[in-house]
Amino acid sequence: MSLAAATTSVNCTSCGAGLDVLGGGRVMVHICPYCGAELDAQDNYAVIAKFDGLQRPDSPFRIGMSGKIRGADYTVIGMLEFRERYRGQTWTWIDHQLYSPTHGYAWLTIEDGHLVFTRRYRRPVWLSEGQVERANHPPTITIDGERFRYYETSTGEITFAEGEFTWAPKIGDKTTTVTVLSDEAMLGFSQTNNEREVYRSELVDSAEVSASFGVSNPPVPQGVHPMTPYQSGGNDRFMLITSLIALVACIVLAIFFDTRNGTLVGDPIVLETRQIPAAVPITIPNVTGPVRLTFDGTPYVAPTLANPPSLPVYARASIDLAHPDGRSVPEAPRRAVVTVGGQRQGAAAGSRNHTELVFPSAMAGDYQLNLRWSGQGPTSANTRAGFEGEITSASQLHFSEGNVTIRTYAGISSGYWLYRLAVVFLILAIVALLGKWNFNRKRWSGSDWTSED
Amino acid sequence: MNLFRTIFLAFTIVAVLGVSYVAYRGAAPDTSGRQVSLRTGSGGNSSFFAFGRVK
Repeated sequence: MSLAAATTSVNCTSCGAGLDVLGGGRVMVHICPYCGAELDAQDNYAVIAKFDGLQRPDSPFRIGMSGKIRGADYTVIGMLEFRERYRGQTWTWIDHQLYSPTHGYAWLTIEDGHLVFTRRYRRPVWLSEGQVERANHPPTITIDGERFRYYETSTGEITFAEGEFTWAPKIGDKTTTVTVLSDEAMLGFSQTNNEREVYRSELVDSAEVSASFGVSNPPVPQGVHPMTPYQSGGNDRFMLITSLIALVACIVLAIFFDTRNGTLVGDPIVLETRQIPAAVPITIPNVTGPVRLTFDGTPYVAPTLANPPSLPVYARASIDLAHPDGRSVPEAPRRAVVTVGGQRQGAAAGSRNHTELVFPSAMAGDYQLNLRWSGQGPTSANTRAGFEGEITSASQLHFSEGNVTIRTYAGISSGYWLYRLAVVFLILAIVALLGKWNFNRKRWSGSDWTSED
Repeated sequence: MNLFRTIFLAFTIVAVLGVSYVAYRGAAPDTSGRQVSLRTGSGGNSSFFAFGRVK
């Protein structure tokens, strides 16, 4: 334990106990820890009040301990316990009056294991309880570029006092303090009877200060204190940056894999329209990944009608998948159709001129494709030709040329799951961003401000 | 680098590489399983940023 090196002492004028005099010249009273007598330090330690039956609160900091805070030597010269009751709840805290020969007087307070260092703030600024009551929004104060916002109003009652003080505390004295909070500091506007004081508080490192004062069982900080600074360089920042990089990587890779449509396997099969209906044997190669079978119908076909319609003629060929022995493949789609024609001369193929069947790798093997005509149009062409009913041969079509080209592709990739992984990283990035929001929510959770609509 | 960052970085790398391999293999809801899937339309109709590929 560090104890103040040079001390003088007096005897309590009430009980005769020896009292160390640790404070400086501005000490006004000395409350005897043995008998509870409040002695007037400015008047030969005459008894001015007596507090009987006080219960000393449990604090690891005791009167006479010395240590460094923010590079300055301080000695604990007094201890006060406050209690606040509000709506059935009770809070207690202990303020330690500190004295430094070079830096004057200050306070050290233990709040939920956090150590709060408080000094007088000698600037022309004030916020009263009445101003807070009348405000529609939380009052703010900006001093030297530091912005403070209203946090709470509390009224504490002194329940214990001992040691030296620069004022004369009385058991039962009530002090109302309006507190405003910035990112790392608090300003307290305290009023006791007719006296006003402004204090500035900051958190100090609990372990470091406790060690400096020689405290054997230092208080352990619990939870987020309103003045706990946000650690922007922490894990959330790492998580945010990593997630964003991974997000971009996923999208770039997904686009890359989506453009990998595979390579042509073997020669295309060209089926003339006059060959349909037809049974075409095909082989789905046993390769890594899916195999794509594409069907492309000729976009424009010249009508063979004597009186052709204004709209392009077309015919639809349905595609059935069967095993080589003719059995149908139950896993195959039932409505595969490719259209021949339907576009004007010189126009590009329409979406209906192109159809694909995608085989999973588990379905490699030999198959038979059955193509047959399922209908033709436009309706005006059918009317002109007097055509009705089912097409059983290519000779019933309104055109004679055209074909369906069947191609097989392997080595296909898909960005599907990479896009989904990108969404996961987007969510992680949002979670990382919410870290600071959540931190501030905890900091301000003790505020008593309520907006009234 | 602390434990959280190490684990998170490892998860990220494994996830991107693992899913990239799955993407390389062409796995998607319509290319896996035991069903032949049907796609209609052509390249001009594919949507660039859509999830999965529409051909």
